[in-house]
Amino acid sequence: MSHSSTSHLIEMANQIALNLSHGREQLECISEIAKHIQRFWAPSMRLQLIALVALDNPQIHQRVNIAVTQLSDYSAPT
Amino acid sequence: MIQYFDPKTDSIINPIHAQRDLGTPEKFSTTEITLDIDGVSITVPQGTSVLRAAAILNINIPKLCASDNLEPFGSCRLCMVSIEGMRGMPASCTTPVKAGMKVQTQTPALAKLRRNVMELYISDHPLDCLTCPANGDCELQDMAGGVGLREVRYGFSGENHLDASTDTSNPYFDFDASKCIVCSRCVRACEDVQGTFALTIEGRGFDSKVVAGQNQSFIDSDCVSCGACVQACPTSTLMEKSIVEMGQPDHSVITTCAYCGVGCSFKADMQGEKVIRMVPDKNGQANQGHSCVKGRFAFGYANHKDRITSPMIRNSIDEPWQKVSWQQALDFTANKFRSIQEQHGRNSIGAITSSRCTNEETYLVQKLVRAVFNNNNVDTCARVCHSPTGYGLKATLNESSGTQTFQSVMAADVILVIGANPTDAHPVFASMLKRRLRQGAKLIVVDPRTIDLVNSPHTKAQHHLKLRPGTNVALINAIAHVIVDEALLDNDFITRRCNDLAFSKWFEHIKDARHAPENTWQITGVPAQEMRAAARLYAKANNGAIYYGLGVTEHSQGSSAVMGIANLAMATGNIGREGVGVNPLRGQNNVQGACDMGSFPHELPGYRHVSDTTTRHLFENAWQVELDHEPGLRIPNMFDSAINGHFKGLYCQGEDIAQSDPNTQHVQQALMAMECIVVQDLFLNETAKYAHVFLPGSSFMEKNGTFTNAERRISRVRKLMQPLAGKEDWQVTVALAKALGYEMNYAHPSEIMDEIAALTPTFNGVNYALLDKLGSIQWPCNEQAPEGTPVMHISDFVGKQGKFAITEYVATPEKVNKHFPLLLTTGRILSQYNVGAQTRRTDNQIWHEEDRLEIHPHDAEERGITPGDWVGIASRAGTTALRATISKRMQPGVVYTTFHHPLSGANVVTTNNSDWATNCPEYKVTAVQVTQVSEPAKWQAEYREFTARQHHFLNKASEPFNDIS
Repeated sequence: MSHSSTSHLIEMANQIALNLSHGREQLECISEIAKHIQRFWAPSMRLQLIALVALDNPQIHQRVNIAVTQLSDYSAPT
Repeated sequence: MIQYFDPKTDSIINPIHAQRDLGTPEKFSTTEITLDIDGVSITVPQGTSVLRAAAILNINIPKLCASDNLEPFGSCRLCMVSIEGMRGMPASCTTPVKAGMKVQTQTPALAKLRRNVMELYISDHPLDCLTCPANGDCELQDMAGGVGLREVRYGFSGENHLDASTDTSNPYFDFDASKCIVCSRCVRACEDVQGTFALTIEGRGFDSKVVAGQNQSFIDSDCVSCGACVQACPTSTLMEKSIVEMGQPDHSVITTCAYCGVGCSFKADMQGEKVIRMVPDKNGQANQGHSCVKGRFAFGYANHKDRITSPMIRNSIDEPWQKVSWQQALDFTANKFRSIQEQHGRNSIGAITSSRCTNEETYLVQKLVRAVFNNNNVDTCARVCHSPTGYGLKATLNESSGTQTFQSVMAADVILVIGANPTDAHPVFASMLKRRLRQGAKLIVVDPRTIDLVNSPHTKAQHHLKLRPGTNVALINAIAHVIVDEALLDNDFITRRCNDLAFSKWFEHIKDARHAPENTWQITGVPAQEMRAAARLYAKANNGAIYYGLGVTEHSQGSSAVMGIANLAMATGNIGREGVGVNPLRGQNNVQGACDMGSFPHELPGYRHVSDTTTRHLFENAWQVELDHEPGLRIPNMFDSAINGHFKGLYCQGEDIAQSDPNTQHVQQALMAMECIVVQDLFLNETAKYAHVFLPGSSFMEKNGTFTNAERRISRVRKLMQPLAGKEDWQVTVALAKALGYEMNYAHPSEIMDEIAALTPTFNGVNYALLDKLGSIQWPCNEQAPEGTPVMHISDFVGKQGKFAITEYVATPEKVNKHFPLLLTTGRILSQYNVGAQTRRTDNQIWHEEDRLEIHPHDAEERGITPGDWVGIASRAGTTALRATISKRMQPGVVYTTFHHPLSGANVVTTNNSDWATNCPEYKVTAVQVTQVSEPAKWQAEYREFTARQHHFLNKASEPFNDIS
């Protein structure tokens, strides 16, 4: 995966988090981030994001890190 | 139940509803007046003229200066009648009906007077009827014949205007002053209908003449070449050049324009298979007999020499094209796509649909992707323009569309235009808007530039909020804050119609002081007082209507801004009747349709998510395949995936992503990473230069189908001529599906619409027979609304409550700094259309041969830039060069350009930043530096070289070995 498309994916995820942060409690916000990504992102993109989160990429917004665990493609690490 | 539409009965000449001119405009009143004309009784609304009442009875009182799209003038004195009890012979055009009136339209005295009037007209008019371009279609001829003119007793040796010269400066029509009868219909058309006020009558009495501008030629005046004057002219004075050359049409067909989202209805005047003229259809519900320069005159591109009519293939973009038969091209494509999927998985190919194409065609492409490619990788141009509208209005008003008709603006009291430039991009709607403003409605414009609408003849915006690009949400929040802060909410509406919880959350959020104009001015640049005044004006209006465009959507917070706009309308109760509403000005002729048809990676037709099992089963049964329930790739995701090596094949119908999508170099990289790009288009466009298969497309004149405009109005597109390449676009998709092993059996596009109607609740009642009967239909059209729905959300929001959405301002990541201190924003101009593929191949080039960079005098001076200088524009994405235009309508710190010419490279400079919810590119905010340069940018030099090579490959295209089609 190219560097620029990684950063682009992270940018998009962070943007979603930023825009869904206001007027909502933390848990509600995380749930909405997850729902948005589930609804609008292709599985390949969701899997890429999950993989990046698994690598502990520091660029990723904290709430995105938690939101990906709510995606249907997510499987908890063993 | 599939209703069959019999193509045999869809006669080429559609029942052209009365194109008759009834003399004066229709008047609406609840009071009815009954009168007697020539002994026949008729009842008409109060305010109707005697002339019109007679015309309705088919009693055609002679007239020359009256026309039913213009208020009466009373100058020609031909329409005089005799009215019992009224003195003299009043002009029937300026005489309103009165109860019990008794009118006689013909008497010996009237006849004599009319002959005398005609005698005067003809005494100063050339007598070359038989060789005149208006022969066969001349109201002067008709009147002279009608009144029985037999002699001109004055003779022809006196002073006259017969040697007046002809102004041929406009590329599409001539102004032959020697034939002018000074009826001033053209002047009034330019005023009332178009609102440009370019024409006037100069001089008095015998010296009166029509002049354009300050006695200039038409091309040098303010004339926008809309053609309203040409249509209004009763003689040969203002005449289309095509009629002068070719003569009168032999038949006409009604169809719909393929340019902008107004979707004007046109009468195509034809000789055999050739379109010689497009005249606005006076019964067009969207345009009411008006048009703009593009639809009216710029249709010649369909026969341009650049038109490609043979399928072509090649293995690599470094090879010349090979002309092949249709079957060979389709088999080549099918084999490539199948082998790519075998190697890289079923998600490695996809398609992009076109707003240029009909609903039926777009429906088939998304069907092809879902049923035959077995994925959801289908997207459309709406991605880059109004996808935030789809998201934002669905989230708040429960439906992804605008709420009104265009006509609704005539009932608005306060009009708020945000991020739209209607006089350039929706001209016919803008003319209606200006008419309403001249009637007294108030205007607020939110735009970083001083667009024409701010200060137009006889109209001026009460408030122009000239904000910094990228701050829309802060501004919209400030307006909302004022509405809450100053208790301007429509609490009754909110309680009845909106979700309580959502509203109270929103209320708590927006009342915070950080949203107040006094605090947001630092972000937006709009002074607090102005902001408050504008907010009050909108909120206090009886009918407040919001119109918005890409200046709202093409931002990193586009969806938020749309939701903010819906919030404003709900907060003030401005929904659910005439004169109000939320009106996205959809740019393209069928972008609304493309969205309705589900050409989205996440939605099936009718805006239903692919994960919705019930909907999916419906389609699975109809199409006899299993469908993917996961969302597919959006256009920008397709590019990223291509660069990553996963997305390899693309079927691109009528969309030029290499020119219209942002960050051109990124797009080029993506295209070059793919193995099989199939472009279906009219010309070798920018994307086709990177393609491996070229399938020749068909213009709107070469097919049957429907377009849906910004009003949700579905209108017929009718075939005027045989497709030049032998197939209509929908037939190509069907053939491609067949080559891939899937049969689609349709004898006529009406059958495709029947299938759509059967599967889509909002389209249930739509069929071609009903379209013919009603002229056009606004969806939803179903059992609840059998004749369609002009105004939406009258009693509820699609059966539910409206939802206020919280929209916090989040500054765009695209920041200015000392390297990139200016903000670039983009837009359109009247004469060119989007990427210019069509309009650049017409005489519209005369008005806009190149894109220019508009810069404020202050910024120009700082950089030593003078008008016409070449300047380099550099951003974090790339660099290009344009010539500069210095203009005070910009603001310091903001520059502007259009994107109609590929060489301009406007998108080389725009970035991959996009809307958080939909990935709609942030075209409107790019941080740039502008400097004087002495040569074109590197990208432009490379572009020229690449283009030259690709044109060479096209010219060298070899003939097919055998002609099997």
